[in-house]
Amino acid sequence: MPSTPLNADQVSGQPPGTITLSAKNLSRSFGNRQVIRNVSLELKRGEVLGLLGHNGAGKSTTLQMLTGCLLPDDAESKTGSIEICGIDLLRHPTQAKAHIGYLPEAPPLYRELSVNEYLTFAARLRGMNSAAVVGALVQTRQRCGLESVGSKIIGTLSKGYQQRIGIAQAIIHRPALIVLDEPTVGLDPTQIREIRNLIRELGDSSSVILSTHLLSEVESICNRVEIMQHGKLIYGDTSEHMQRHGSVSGFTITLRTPPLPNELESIDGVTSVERFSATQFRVLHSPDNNPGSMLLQLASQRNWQPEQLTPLQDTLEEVFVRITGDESRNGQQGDQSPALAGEDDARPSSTVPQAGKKP
Amino acid sequence: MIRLLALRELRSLFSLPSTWLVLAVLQFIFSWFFLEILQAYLDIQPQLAQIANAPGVTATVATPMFNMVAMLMMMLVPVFTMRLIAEERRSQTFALLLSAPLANRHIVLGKFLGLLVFMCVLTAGVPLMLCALALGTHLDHGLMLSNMLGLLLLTASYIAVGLYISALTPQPVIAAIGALAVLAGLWLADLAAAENSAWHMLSPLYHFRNFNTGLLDSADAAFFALFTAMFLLLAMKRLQNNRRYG
Repeated sequence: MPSTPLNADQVSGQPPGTITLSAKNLSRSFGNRQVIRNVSLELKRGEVLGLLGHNGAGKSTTLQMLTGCLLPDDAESKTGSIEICGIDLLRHPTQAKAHIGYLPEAPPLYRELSVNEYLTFAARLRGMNSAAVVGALVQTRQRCGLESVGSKIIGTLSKGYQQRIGIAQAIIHRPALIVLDEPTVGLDPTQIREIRNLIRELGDSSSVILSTHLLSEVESICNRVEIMQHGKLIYGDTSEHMQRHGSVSGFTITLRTPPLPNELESIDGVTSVERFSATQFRVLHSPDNNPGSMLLQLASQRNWQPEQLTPLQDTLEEVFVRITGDESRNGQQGDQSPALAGEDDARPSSTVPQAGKKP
Repeated sequence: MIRLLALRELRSLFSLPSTWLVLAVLQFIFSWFFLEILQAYLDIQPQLAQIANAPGVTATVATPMFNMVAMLMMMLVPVFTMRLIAEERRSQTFALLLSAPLANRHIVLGKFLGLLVFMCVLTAGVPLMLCALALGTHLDHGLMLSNMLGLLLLTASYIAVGLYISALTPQPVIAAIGALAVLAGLWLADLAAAENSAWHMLSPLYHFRNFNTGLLDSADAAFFALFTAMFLLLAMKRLQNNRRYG
């Protein structure tokens, strides 16, 4: 992968941090069924936004609206608006769309064309001139790992290649906004890793918005998360914040020759101790007073033989389930703040990651 | 942009093996028919020679030939127009065009012109075969040109109908059957209507008949232009509605 960034910045003359996408109050119904309600999104250059949600939550419909494939309800009455790099998508669709690269759920491939023909067509379609296409084609094929299949017919290639061609057509014209609908579906683990690296790299120079129901994807690529349920955005934050959403401070500790639990409880800052097994304890503490180092010090003095100390940290999976669960409960019970609802949930110890391992 | 889309349409068509099969089979049918008509003409030629003001070779061979091609177009065009939009929507490639910086008119005109050029290639054999007669006799170039122009206008109007119906459904087969039904309906309107009925005026084949006999009437040309433009505009409108209503 080349280290030189896409010069999308130079192309559209915008510094990093400028707003590339601003969508306000988008709603959409199909017949009488309203599938998107009042969705507002903002995206800056250099951000990778993950749109998370169950199947049928309205992610794809939202992305279709953001790319101009579907019009929002009341497009004329201007209740909702979409701006791409400051250009109104509903009023000046042609100019605005030149800044978008879109990979729909099913890659839009003309199966009878060769990879080169197809990518050239995609680039020309977005208004690139023929001289620029040649260079872009070489670079994009390299980025997406398509060097060896340039003259092959798309229909004869595997699903993994087809998905990569789909991504290639979305980035070949160096758009400011890249919209990817479930980009890693159908890829094998190595390809998934390559594509995720590519997306992270794209996020350096453009804004990327991707929809997925794979939480690991969000964890590894996105710096912001929006969770969608029943056509509404119910939660939006950075992915680090989301991971901490509603969690409590604490850690699990393994001591080979453990003391009595009340001996641990007496340490300053510890609020509760729970014994999982003969040697494993869960220690909860107040957020501003971490007794971890104190405990380790004591452990070495009193020869408890400490083996492992792991901070309690939820995987995004749990947080996601908690947030979407809160929202359904709130829907039933009235408007309770989702941030507070999950506070006293118990967490099973088996899902605690080993990342924070200390000697 | 229109040219780009038209070229893509042509490239896709020519990379399908079925297209080449259709080209070959049609050429075979055309030439068989041509030889049949030519044989019939040669059989009656001695009698024609005795009549004063007898019809020439162009009128006896080229006119029925073009008439046959015009009838065949009614069935051929839907086969190709069904792919234009319905197929793209079914295979979900249409999102590429919808999200590209294109207006609906670019999409419609690009596809229309692409297929029109293809249909010209498909039928190019007919005037070429007829021109081969020039080796042994004198051809009526005016009649030939009027027939070629008529066929071009007729094909354009059929493609416009097929394109519009293709935009109505994501099912190519329904698009083909629908277009065939409309075109056959228009033909029947001409065939079944009473002598001086206004129904004749609706049928493209009725307006082609004047071109077929070598009569260039601006009213007929205007009919084709309006007919084609109306269905192209309807198709553009339909694409806009697809975005609005999903």
